[in-house]
Amino acid sequence: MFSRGKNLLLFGVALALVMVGCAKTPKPPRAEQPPPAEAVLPPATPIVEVKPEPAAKLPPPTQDEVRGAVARVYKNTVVVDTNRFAVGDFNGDGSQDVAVVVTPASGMLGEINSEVANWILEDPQKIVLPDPKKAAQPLAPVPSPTRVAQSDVLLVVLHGHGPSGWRNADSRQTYLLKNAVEGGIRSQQIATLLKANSGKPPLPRPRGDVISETLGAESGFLYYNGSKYVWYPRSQRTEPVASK
Amino acid sequence: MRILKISVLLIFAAALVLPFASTSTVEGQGATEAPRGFDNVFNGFGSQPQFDADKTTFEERDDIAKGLGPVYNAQSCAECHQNPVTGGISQITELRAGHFDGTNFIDQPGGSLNNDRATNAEIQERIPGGNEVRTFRTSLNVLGDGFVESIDSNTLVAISNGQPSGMRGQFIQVPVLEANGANRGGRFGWKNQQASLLSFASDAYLNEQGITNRFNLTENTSLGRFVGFGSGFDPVPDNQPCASNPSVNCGEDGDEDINAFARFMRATKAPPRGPGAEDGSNGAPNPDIVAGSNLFNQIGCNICHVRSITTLPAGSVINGGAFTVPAALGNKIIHPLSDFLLHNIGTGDGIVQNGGQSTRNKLRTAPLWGMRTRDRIMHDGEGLNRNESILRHDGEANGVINNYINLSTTQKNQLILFLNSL
Repeated sequence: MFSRGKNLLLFGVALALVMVGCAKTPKPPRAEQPPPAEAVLPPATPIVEVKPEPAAKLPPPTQDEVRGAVARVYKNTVVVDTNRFAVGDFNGDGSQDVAVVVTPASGMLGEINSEVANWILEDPQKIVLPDPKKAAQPLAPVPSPTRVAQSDVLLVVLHGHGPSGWRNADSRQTYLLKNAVEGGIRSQQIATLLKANSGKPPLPRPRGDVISETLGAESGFLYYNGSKYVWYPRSQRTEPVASK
Repeated sequence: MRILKISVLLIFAAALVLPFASTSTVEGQGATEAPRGFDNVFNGFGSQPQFDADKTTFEERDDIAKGLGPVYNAQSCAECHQNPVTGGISQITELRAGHFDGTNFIDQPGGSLNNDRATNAEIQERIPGGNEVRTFRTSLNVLGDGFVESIDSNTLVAISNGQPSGMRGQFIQVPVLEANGANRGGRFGWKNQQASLLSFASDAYLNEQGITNRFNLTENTSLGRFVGFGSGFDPVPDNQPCASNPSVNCGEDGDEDINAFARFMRATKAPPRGPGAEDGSNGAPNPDIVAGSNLFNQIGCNICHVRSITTLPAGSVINGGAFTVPAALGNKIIHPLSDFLLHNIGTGDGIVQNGGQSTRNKLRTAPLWGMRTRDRIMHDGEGLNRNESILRHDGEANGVINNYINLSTTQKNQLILFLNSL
């Protein structure tokens, strides 16, 4: 017969053997697999760029359509001057845009000037572009934020989306421009502008059509440079432009 | 007998511990978060002393005797990649120009990059008339780019395939210079014009600093005018032997600095999150940032600004066979907030680089990691506040931006707070 001590000892040994047996055997360091070389992809399918078509031949805008388009984004913050608007492809993306004269609605300045407004508020006369004739030059200081006052007359430019342009319910990208309108506005096609300027001092190259008008007794036009609307008085002629 | 008892106890204890010890090995096989930090500490690739030495090279100001110029943009990498630590972003832009003939973009003479500086006033580049397409490009963050390099090209294709048809990003393949021009999915630069960090370093050393190197042996011109060695403007010949292999021509880069640049970028940590981040990585989550993070996904920003990508496993061979993903970069989860694909969101700069004419008005989705360190955003730096920059998105992003426009003022502020925590 075994003594009690020996029994305990045998039990302990048996238990230890069971535990060791149940333990996961540590895997040996994983043998490095052949590196999964990155699959060679087929050459990217050439993508034919869809050239922006001239703004589609759309029916002339009605006052109600213009009012409705502005309200789509601005709601009741501005009052539309339904007698002063113009259409054209101002940002050059192939969709028809609309420019409309508006005034601030009473009591809406807080919303119009909000930091998180649904429009990009700017003053085209504050935009100073680098002089292309100078290699090194200090950049113009960043203009102070534009603020709208109750007495301001403003210009809304609503960029179109898709074939129906600014009439499209998804057309919501819009600039609200201060110091950008006094009298009437007129859309001028980029091709017409360049043709009319043939042989004359050069013009800047807008992205699309321009908004011709007179500001401060000087004729000129507003054009989109890819990020902002810039006022270009015709007396300021600086750089050559390529024929289209 | 006493010894026997002690032995049994030891075996018993070992048996108890063994199952738990083997478990951690299993867990270690999964993807893990990539290290993040603006702390000048390496990410595990190489060593800290190597990282420090490479960082010094990245910061080194080159001079004419070293090969600087004759036309160039900066004297060191860190002049443009610096904020808040070396490898970050900066306010510095480069200038590109050319002409659009109605069908194709054509570089200005000598290439679209218009170098802002020259070692001699006579050869200063100024945009010639007739090159009406012009753009500024802000300098990019390179922190964490080793992880970006380690993303499988097929992952980028899969991301594109998963995007809605009107928002599908364009994947382009570009030559890897160190692999004899083998193609790989582009991911670096505003136009995805580079696929590997060594190619990127080589390209930048030539184009930004004017220093030829073993993958780019021809000096830049000044608007098409030869200004290299022999012209009287460049005293350094482009035939220095490489330090590591004198039989190879290293151009003006005999020290092979491009290797140090690439090693430095590969060893940087990813940009860390700011205080209150929703992932809890920097203090207790701020409820408004959490809400903004959710809104970011709900309105669809994350379709292109992809939040998480896992890199290839360690040991994977990439860059046309020229680089093997090391353990420090492999199987890491990163949060770049980009799909590294090209999109047209209406802000395109009209410039074509490696991707062909179809990419003229497309730009790489800006990775938003580290965004809180930027005050000038978008490719041209024209975005001076977050709201306006969001509103500048149109085209492929039209639907997402319309969702943004429909948010309340509180929600917009939460979303912007989230962006400012990146």
